[in-house]
Amino acid sequence: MAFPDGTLRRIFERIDSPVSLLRAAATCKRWHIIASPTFLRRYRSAHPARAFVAGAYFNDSTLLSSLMPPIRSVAHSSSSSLVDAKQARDRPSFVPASPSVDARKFSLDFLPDDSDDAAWTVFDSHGSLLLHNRTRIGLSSAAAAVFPDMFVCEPATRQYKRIPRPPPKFLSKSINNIDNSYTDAYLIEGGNGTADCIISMSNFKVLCVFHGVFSHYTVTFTAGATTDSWRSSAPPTPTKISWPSYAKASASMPTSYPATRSLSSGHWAAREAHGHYRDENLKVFKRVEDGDWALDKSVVLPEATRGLPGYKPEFFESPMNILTRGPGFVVLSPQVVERWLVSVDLETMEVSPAEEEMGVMVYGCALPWPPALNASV
Amino acid sequence: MAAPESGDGNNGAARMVTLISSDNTRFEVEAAAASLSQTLQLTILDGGGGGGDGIPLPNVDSATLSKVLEYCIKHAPAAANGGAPNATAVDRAELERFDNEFVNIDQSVLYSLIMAAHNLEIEGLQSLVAKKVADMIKGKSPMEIRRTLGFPDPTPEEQAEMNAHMLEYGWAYE
Repeated sequence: MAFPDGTLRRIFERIDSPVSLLRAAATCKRWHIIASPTFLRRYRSAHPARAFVAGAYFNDSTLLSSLMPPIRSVAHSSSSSLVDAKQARDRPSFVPASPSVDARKFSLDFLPDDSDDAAWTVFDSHGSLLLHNRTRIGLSSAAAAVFPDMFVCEPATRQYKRIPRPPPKFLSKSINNIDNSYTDAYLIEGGNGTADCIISMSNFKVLCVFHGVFSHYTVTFTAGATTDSWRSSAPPTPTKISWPSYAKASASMPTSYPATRSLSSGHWAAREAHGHYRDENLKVFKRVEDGDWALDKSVVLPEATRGLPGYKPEFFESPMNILTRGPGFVVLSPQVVERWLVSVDLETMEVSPAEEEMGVMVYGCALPWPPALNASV
Repeated sequence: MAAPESGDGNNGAARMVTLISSDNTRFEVEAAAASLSQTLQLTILDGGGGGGDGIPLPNVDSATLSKVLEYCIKHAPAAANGGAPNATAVDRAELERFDNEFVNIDQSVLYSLIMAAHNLEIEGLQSLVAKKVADMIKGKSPMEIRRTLGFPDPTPEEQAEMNAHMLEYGWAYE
């Protein structure tokens, strides 16, 4: 069948899986019409974000369960001492989002394994990329905490890039004049975050947060098509919203929050842990058009959770930890020895008692898009 | 051919037009149904197709035209309601059932319909046949797609291109 161009476009727009679309592109030369940027843009906007989800990664569950007691931070660092040699060879597992995705193609076996004692942990994801931390047995956790051995990878295309240490000129000494000031890192898209600017191996940033003398400061690694660079950056959030609210919750992006990253200041307040900063609200931020962030909704935790079984006012004397993020929800726990888990639906902001089994951090991973189809083939 | 319950009330009786297929068969149909075709709508608005004149359609044979008109007659009432915002769920379900049944056809017929819907610019029918082809493509490998759609066997060059594509986009293949 030789279809008219307009008909061909209509057909391709109705193929609901990007995987099927790519296969169709290979069928014959004329069908490379798919490769036009205009078509790919239209296709992307005509389909729900979940169509582009490849699946989700989660870190080794035995490792995670050892990190689970709520009194301990769920941060990715400081885990090396808990890793034994057997677990070290385990890499984060992949669960495909649909039967059309072949899980084997998303295996992380391509990550460099120059020694037996490396353990890989995903700690952020965005679009088709993952941010990993590589830890080694025998390396003290204090040393690893100075600056983690970070890698960004794209599982679908089996590419990776090691994130170098930031140049010393960007780092200030912390209050005790100790270098141990690295706090966290976030994987974000390069550019200004508009729809045309999709994260890829040649267009991403790793925003690293350090604890300075009086406040947090950030240093950003920018990967470009030709060169990579570091620069120190001001908080990208509007002034009325405090910096610590800037969020890492890409896990909740692919399904229900296509353009939203969300999280709470509680997460950050917990990290600050000095008592002078306290916020009882769980806030969800939304990316607005110019790439900035704005407060979308919030819930006052002590009030919202008052009716839940096991509630105690003292749970809120310190900010709550965020234990887990999943698609569209977070699980919170107070910083007390007692275990009391609350799940918050980020769509409705409704709170409910959380199941212990929900305690696995999920990192969504999207298909690379737009695919770098060669229009001239 | 069963007429829809009512026309749009012009002069009591619905206005009729005559269409003539490539093999010279004459089809008399309500103007409202024929106007689902953007191409025909212009002619009809100009007053064409009435009386004994008829509108010749040299690119559409009678078998295809009768199929196309079956679609137009079924969809005309809903289209007259501006996409049927006030249609009941039952009406919509009935149209959906009709559509599914309608494209459950031979590939040669489907292909004729695709070309007719394209030439006559019938939006709804174009969408319907495109969806049908999309469903035939989904989940198949490039070779399976070629076979499904009756493409000739690939030339060695085409085969080489397909292999290269599969190598580059390994994640999209099993």
